[in-house]
Amino acid sequence: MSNMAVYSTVLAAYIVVLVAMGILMGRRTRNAEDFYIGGRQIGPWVTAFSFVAAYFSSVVIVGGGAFGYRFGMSTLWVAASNVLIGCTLAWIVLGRRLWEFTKRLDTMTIPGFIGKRYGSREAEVFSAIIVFVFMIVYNVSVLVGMGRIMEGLMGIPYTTAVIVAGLIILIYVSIGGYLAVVWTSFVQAWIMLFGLFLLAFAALARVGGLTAANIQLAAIDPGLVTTPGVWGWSGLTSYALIVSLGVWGMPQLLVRFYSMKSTRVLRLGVVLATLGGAMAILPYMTGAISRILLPTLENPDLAIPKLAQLVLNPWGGAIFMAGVMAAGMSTFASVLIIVSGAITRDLRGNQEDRKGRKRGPQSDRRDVMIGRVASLAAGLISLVIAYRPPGLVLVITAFAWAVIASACLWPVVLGVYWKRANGAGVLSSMIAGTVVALGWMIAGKPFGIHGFIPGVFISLVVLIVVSLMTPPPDAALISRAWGEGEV
Amino acid sequence: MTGPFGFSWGTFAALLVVAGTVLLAIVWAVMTAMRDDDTGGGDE
Repeated sequence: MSNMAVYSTVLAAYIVVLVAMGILMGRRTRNAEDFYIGGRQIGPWVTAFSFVAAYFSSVVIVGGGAFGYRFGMSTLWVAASNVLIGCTLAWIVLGRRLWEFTKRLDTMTIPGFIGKRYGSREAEVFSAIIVFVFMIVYNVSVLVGMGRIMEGLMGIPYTTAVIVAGLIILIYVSIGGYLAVVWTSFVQAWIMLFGLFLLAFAALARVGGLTAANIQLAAIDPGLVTTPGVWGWSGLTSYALIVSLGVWGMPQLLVRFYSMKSTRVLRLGVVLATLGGAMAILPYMTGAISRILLPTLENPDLAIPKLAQLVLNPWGGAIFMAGVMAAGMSTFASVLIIVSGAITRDLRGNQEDRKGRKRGPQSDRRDVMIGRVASLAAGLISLVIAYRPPGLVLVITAFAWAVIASACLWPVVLGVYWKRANGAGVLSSMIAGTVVALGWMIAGKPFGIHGFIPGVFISLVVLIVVSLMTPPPDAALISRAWGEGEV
Repeated sequence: MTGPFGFSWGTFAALLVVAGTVLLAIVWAVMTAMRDDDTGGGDE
């Protein structure tokens, strides 16, 4: 069997499973709550592993490997911050409160939560616009990354790879909604884990084990095994923070908390998410090892694909490729459902409430249909841009994550912890965070610090100062959000 | 001076942080379960 035949067989089997799951979940999707948050019925295993799959995209795997190749073992600190701050602390600090608040406020999106918690339609619309624009840009980067990997590993043209992967995701997301997203992500997380372990063990075996790998890396450059080593503190800490603390403001990850069937899910879920998140070690470590086996690579982004070709047999390579695709597809699908929610729930507003109509099966069916059309449209926009990405879009993708996190992080965190935070404060904070993060990156990252750091700092300061300088939020609104007076 | 598996101690500490985080998650889960049992919490 030729390499191409092996790759095609594994890929075809993988695609059939995804589409079948989409169709199956489509039958269980009856109303908007099912379509956007799975009817708040998701258990610990699916919540935890779909969280991990949405967190680590193919960009993280290939990009993480590239960082490992360039900066060596000090990048393990990025993995450590992913696990501690991005997984465990996010679950502990935000999980229970977000579940409770979104249930009391009857909302199923992050912009919707911001609008209702702060009583500000302006804040809701602003955050929805940020989510819509920058999530689509982020999705373009995920698609581009996935297309490049398939091109590198399978030798199929980039444009074909983008169209095939994009259309498969569009089919199962638009049919199955959030349920399809989380269940396919659950399966994809295991494929990712298996693929990454396979590559890491094969690479370690090739260099003679972990100790031998470190000795050989130190021989190339001692800075490849020390911390901060060749990277330096400013680069290492700002990158580690953006890919870990940034999670606290990312809607496609936060939605996992309020789609849980109960807060009991958090107990087992936090342990599973932590264990799953620990796989972040693998791309960084494997990327560092590839420096030994492929010392003359001109483009570090090729470290992981080239290493897979070097140390894995065709079946192993095919499984690893499925793992990388799984990482990209799960993230793309998770973002798609969030963009759909931003369009239909937040920008469009709650039509039923305004017109005072009673809800029924007909309006439920209409909501689901609108959600499907919106996710299809958002996916097609991403697909068209990714087909031939303009240079500007590729530049913006580098900080889409930073802008979303800078705008949404503190409005979410303080929204569930500080009663004094108000609508004026949150709107000013989101605008300031967005402008500073964008401006810092456009200015060329002064001092080597990523725009997320000043963006998120200014956003916090502005939220606190403006909230304290303006009247406190309505007492009834705070009572409702905090569940005070509930029997 | 090198630590276990040829890592520098500064880098090996990152792996200790990961292991410690797993421990933290387990302890938090157990404590939350005990608290919920005492208070009847853990909303359905």
